[in-house]
Parts: sequence; structure tokens; C-alpha cells
Amino acid sequence: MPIVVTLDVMLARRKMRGKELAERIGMTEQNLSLLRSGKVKGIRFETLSRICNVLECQPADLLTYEPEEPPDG
Amino acid sequence: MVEALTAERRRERLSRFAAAMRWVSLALAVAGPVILIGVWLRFEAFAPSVMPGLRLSELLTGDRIGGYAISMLPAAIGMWGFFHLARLFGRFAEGDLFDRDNAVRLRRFAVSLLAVIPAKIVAHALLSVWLTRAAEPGARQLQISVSSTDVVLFAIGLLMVALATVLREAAAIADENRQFV
Repeated sequence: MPIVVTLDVMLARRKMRGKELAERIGMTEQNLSLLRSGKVKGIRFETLSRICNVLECQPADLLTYEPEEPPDG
Repeated sequence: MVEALTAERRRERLSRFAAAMRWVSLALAVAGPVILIGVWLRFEAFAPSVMPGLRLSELLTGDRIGGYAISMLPAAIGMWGFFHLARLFGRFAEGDLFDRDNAVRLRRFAVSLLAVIPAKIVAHALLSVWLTRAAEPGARQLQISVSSTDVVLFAIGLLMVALATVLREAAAIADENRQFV
């Protein structure tokens, strides 16, 4: 998946722990962990908005696009 | 907030209804074989309505036991279907609405409805042969019976197959939605 979740970077910048973020946005730690590791199919605008609100950032600070390298040959 | 409360109340109502339907399904599953015992104990009284035109001689215990065993062929399929329906309602009552397993159980119930029709026809034919086997040659009978109830049952069975297919798709969508945070 070329979309990479950079939530960990923002959490480090804001010196906030995942547990606190999960509590403040009303999400389980398990789901937040899945999001941080990019093991989800998608993120709802509502969730994105809550994270941006708590971390005072933009959606682009949480997600980046890294194109996949074409296979050799 | 009001919407959330309404949704919760709706789920609670559905849960209570499903729990009640689970018991109804279990009762129907058990009722078939029990009612059949009663029917076979007094088969002479029921024969004109369930097997019209059948010339019965005096029924011995062996005839009744054999008749009960043959009648159990469609009844057993019905039991199997109603047990799956009960399990389905049980899962609905627990709040598991869109689950792949639910679609499988609904499909099995639908299959049981469809399978009961040929089973009923075969059982009716076997019963007519069984109950007239001791009659003199020329008086033995082979009855084949298809009623309007069978046609309705077939239509309901097909409808249930369609609903099970829709439920399977809904389960797949719900599964995908669970992977969104």
C-alpha cells in the first residue's frame, strides 16, 4: 500500500503517548495500534478530524504517499 | 445523541424479538416428531385427511412404528432446518447481525425447506405402500401427492436462498467496514 501512516511521527512531535490519544479521540488502543501500523483498510473522516483536532495538525501530517517501485524486468 | 439512543433501543427490541423467535424455532423443531407420535397413535382418525382414498385395514404396532419412521424423513429435515434457524436467531439476539456464519445458517434453513418437498412426496408414496402392503393383490396402493402447500414452501425456500445470498454479501461488507477505524 503506497499510503503510509505517519501518526507515530506526529505523536513523537507532540510528545503524546498512544494511550492518551486513544482516550482523547474515543478509540480503543487496539484500533489505534492497528492504525499506527497501517494494518487498516481505511480511516474515517470523523476519526481523522478527531486526531487532527487533538494533535493540532493537518491530515497531510498523518498520511504520506510513497509510490511503489515497479517490479524489475 | 437522540439518534444513538434510538438505534440502541432498536437493537434491544430486535434482540428481544430474536430471542423469542429462537424459542419459537426450537419449539417448532421439537414439535414435529412429538406431534407425529400423536398422529400415529390415532392414525385412523387422521388418515382420511392426510392420506385420502387410502383403504386401511387394522393397524398393528409394527405398522405404526414403521409409519412413524417413514414420516420422520421429512420431519427430520424440518428439525434440522429449524435448529439452524434457532441458532441464527440466537446469534441475532446476541447482537451478531452481519456474520458469514449467519448467512450459512439461513441458507441451511432455506435448503431444508426445499428438501422437505421431495422428502414429503417420497414419504407419502412409501407410506401408502407400507400401509397397504398386506392387502390382497389389486388393493395395494402407491399414492403420489403434490399439494399447493408444497408450491408455497418451494417459493418460500427460494426466497430464503435469495435472502441468505444477500446476507452473505452484507456480511462481507460489514467485515470490510470493521477494517475501517
